[in-house]
Amino acid sequence: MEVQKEFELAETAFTKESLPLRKNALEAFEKLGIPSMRHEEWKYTNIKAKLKQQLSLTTTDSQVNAAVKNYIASLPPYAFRLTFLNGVFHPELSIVPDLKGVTVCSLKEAFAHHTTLVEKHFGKLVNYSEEHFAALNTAFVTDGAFIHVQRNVIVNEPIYIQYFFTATDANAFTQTRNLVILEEGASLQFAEDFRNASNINVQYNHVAEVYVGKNAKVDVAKLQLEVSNAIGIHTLESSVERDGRFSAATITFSSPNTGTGNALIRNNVTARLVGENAHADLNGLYFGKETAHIDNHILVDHVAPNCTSNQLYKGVLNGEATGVFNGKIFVKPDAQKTNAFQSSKALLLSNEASINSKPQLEIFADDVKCSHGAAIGQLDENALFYLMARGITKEEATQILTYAFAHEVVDHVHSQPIRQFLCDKLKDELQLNF
Amino acid sequence: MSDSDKIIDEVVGNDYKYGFVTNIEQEFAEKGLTENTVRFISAKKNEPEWMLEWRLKAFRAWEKMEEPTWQNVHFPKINFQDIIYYAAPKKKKEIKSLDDVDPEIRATYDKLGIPIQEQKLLAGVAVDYVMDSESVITTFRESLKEKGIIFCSISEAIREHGTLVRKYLGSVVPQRDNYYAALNSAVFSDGSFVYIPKGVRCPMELSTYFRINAENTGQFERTLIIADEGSYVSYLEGCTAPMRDENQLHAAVVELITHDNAEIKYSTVQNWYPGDKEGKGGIYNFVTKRGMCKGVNSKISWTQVETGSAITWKYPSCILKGDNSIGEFYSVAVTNNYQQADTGTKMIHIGKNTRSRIVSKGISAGKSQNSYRGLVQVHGTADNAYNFSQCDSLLIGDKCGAHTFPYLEIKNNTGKVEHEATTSKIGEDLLFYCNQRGLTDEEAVSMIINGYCKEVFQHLPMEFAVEAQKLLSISLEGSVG
Repeated sequence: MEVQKEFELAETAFTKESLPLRKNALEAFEKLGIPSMRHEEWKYTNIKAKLKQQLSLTTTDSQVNAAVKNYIASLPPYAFRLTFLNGVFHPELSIVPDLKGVTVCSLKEAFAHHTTLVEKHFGKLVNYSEEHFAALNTAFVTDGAFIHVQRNVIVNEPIYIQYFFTATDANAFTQTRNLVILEEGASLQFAEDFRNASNINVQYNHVAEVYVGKNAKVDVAKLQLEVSNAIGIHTLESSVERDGRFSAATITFSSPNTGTGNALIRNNVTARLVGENAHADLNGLYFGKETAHIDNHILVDHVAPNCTSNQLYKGVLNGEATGVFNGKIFVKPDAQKTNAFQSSKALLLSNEASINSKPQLEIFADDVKCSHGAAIGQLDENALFYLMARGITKEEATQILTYAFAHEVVDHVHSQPIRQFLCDKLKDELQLNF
Repeated sequence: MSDSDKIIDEVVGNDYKYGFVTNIEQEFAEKGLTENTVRFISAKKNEPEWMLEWRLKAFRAWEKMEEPTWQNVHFPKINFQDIIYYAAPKKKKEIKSLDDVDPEIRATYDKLGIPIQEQKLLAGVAVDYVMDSESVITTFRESLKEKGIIFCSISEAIREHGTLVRKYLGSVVPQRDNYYAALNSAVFSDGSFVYIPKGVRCPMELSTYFRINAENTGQFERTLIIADEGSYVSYLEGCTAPMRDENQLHAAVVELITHDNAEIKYSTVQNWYPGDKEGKGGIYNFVTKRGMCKGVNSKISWTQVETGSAITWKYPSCILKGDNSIGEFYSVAVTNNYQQADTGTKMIHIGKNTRSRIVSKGISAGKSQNSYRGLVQVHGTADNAYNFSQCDSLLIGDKCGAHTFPYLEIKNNTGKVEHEATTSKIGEDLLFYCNQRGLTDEEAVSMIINGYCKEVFQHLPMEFAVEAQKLLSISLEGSVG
């Protein structure tokens, strides 16, 4: 990547005023580079070898192709959606909500019309001086969604933010970004949906920053359901104030039943509990097939006292798929009376599949209850036998039990329409019809 | 300070009682580390040529290596040229029995409470006593010899049992394994050697006491234990050091090898000087311990009670190579004041049906930091491997930290790996329950802590379990609250 040269050419979402931020981020990225496996956070994911050498950060190609049209037609009639093709906003494919007290637009537009609000929040949650891909994103972001919900406004319908990749340029490395701000007492559900609608390999690097104000409530669903032939790096950073609640579900299916499953997905999800009595729920479900590589890095940072957090991650790995789980719980010295729990489970369904798991606790306060549990294994032979003794084939029994295993995570998704959608997806994935 | 704070203070604040210095004549190597130092040590020990070559190979590798920085402990950079690599009590004549030992050393023994005479009467433990660099005396050798068991200092083993040592030394921890193992391989001065022949069950506990005495010295001992087919041995290790303001380095290497159906049980009660209440002084305990279950159905069990050292940084590990082999790790790590510990284990499953169990209990008090770091690796060949790990941390006081870094790397779908970790303080409900039954806060706390550690203590030999319990209350004295 010739970052310097591309930096001059790039058409980004920024205004002139925010140029120093971009420059700082670029400098940080030049210092950091692409991480190698020697970096502790990238110990099990060889991103350096996977990413091509010659990537272009300034592609603007955003053709609407037949696959996208068909796809959109097949989706449930969403009330609200924002559609991006290769990181470029397409208003004609979107249904932008027009609600009182709610601002929804593209990040580009937000930079132009809501400058003070954006500048106050943009780039403040991600640590671009240390995180390689956050730095790259901050320097090169093309566009993304901006959502601002005013005080005590409740948005009942979920907002779908769809990112399609239709690139014809196999070297494109798309940089997109969402900025979501909730004022005191506001409530919002939204989904970030990533799909590769092209038949070539795509690369993208997405960052989202979510501010949860006092007593506000956010439900995020990160959907990575059709991401075969993709290298995707996702970063989701949130800060939760007093009495706020943040819940995120990250669902990754490395391949639809037709895909080749050649995917590398990395998720960095962070919840920072900065006000008392805040709560975070971070859940995840991943299905890996063939040579897919799915890496989930989660961090719950307890900064304020009396906060609670829950993490539940489950994975099903088949073929030669590899999974990585790193869940961190930090409890800072002031965060007394913290309750933090984490559970990570993985099913290995084939002998070539593997998982590297690293649950991690770092605790600096004494009046806390923290625990983590990790289990890796296969389906219970007794349960399989029970079903088979009742005339169910082994294959079907495996699917039923896998469904039961995975459904627990889907159950944790708060937003009803998204939960229903995922439930159907899960059945599709497992070819179950009941 | 509330009442309960005071009690914790009392329970966690006892002073280090092994902080004395023994005045005996010693001889030293010159300060600093060069190739000549390695040659000097080798010559001092009358070592054969192959051993010198082996050391030099390690020294050259060490020169090229860099100090690791990934650990969760912090200390100023060690100046390796400011350490004396060899210090030994001057020998006046050949030592035949205990009575010939320098009375000062005997006195040291007694102060340490090593009950040699008593043990002799009870037909208990055979002891090898290592002061600074040199093994001082090994007891009970004759009666062990009758069974074919070799228990002697490693330098003697290098001279007398060269083929055995040459075959196994470095086979589990190679010279260039890591920075401190390479350093140890170059300059190790003494340690214990144990060989249990086929089918022999060692009739008594074997034990080594390590003592750092001289100033500015580093202690680099090397232990090698080989259990041949169908044999069994239980080995104990204890260590103490005087109180000094500067930090001293202890970098040991322990290698265990079990052949078919053999078992080694290795217990450590580590009580190096932890530094004073302001965190001044204390031992840097950077140790590489690893066992290899080479044969089928073999078993290695590590039990450790870590209460001393300014910094403890070690991972007693098992390589489960033989089918059906078993690895165990039981640990209690206590840190108080400014102590730091980064300890845990590695269980490498290679053979089929291999099993491992990890129980780690961390207790942090004062301003200390206590980390568990462990690796469970299941290779593709390790069908039906099973691991269970449990790491609990107890926090006493609000200035300390407890951290858990488990790594699970699973490449086989027939395996089963379970990991659980909890971190909490002593629950008020537990204290209340005890109070209600007439126990004072102090009794309640010590009872709860002992209960918490019981799972580990019960794996220690009896004499050690008693000592460990005492140690625990001493090192936690003055911190419960």
